[in-house]
Amino acid sequence: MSLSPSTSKMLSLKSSDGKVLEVEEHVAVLCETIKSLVEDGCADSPIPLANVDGATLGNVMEWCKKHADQKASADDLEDWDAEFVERDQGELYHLIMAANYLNIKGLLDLICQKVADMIKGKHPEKIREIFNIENDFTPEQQEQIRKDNSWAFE
Amino acid sequence: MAFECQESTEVCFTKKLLNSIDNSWKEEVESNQISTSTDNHIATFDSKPETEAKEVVDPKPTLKVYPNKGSTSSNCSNLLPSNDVLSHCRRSITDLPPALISEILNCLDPKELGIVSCVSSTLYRLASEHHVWKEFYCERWGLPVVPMPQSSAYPDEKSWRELFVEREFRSKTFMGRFSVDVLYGHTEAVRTVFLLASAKLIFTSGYDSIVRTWDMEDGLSIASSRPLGCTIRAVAADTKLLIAGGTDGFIHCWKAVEGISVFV
Repeated sequence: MSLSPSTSKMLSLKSSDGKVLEVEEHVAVLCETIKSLVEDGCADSPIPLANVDGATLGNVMEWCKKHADQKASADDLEDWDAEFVERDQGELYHLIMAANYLNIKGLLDLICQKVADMIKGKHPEKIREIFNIENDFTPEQQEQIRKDNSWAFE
Repeated sequence: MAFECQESTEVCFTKKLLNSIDNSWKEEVESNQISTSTDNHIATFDSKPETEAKEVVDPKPTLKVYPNKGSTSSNCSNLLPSNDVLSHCRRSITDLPPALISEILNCLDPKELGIVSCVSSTLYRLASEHHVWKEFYCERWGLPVVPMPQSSAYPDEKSWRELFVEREFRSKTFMGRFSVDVLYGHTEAVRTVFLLASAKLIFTSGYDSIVRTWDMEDGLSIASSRPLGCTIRAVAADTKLLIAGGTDGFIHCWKAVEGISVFV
């Protein structure tokens, strides 16, 4: 995008729970979904985002704002991101859904990596506990699957 | 132990707690009460202050209600210590659509996927069918040179996982850890080795003047030439031709014959 921060106009984004958020265009267009609307000239009235609630939208835009900031160094962004993903699973869930819906690859990758890091190096029992997953295998299935995957536990 | 509380009981619990604790908690507990009883519909209560309130209040056992899924939670105390651990009444990562769970699985390596597939039947299916197995396979060995046994041009994704695991075993190196195999056969010093990775073959020769062919993966001798009468200093091969150069000035040449792996 050739838009520079100083000339950027404001866009109104309307969340699923009716909250309206004013965001600079050069920030909002980090969302590919919104970028397409802007390019098609459909971004004049508040843009309704039916799948994103107000709190999540606020978080997403916070991320976009940081990442639209050209002055932020790579190291700076990395540290900032690390702090940004320190959230509970409910928030992470909503952020993944929103990043997917708004088509923000950088944010989607970031959150997915965060969740993957929560999985890494843990045993199945621990993973079930962390994510509150029910073990729905029968004892026979369980045994077979553990056997098939025994290589992963070495 | 499962807590199968009706919403009314839950509010009652919360109120009881309200009475029993210091007034200074009151506000936080109320916010907690709202978010608990309205469950996952209200995302705005996911914000930071509320989370803090929860952390403070959580240790009280009376608040441990599971309004939506009474029987799924394990021991309460297990849920407390880690920040990773989530409050039971919110949306969980496993509520994500399969395609997005796959995005998360993309960030894991083969071994971690193996472990994840032991967690539950949903994750088993996702982790086993996961398309990254093909990438793992190709990254490690390149695209298979021979057509897949399934005879279809595009082997289904599950077989990529099977292929990967099977081949990892066969190659005796698991996830980059190599085990040492000794190839027995040559009686004198070896002067030349040649790897033909695409055919999984190793050719070796040396002072004993015999060219030997080995299976790269199981380390077994496949074939050997007759003694060529001189030290062999160089061996090169592709899938069609094997050439050995000796100190007597002659070059020996073997042509690969379909389906036969002996020296002709």
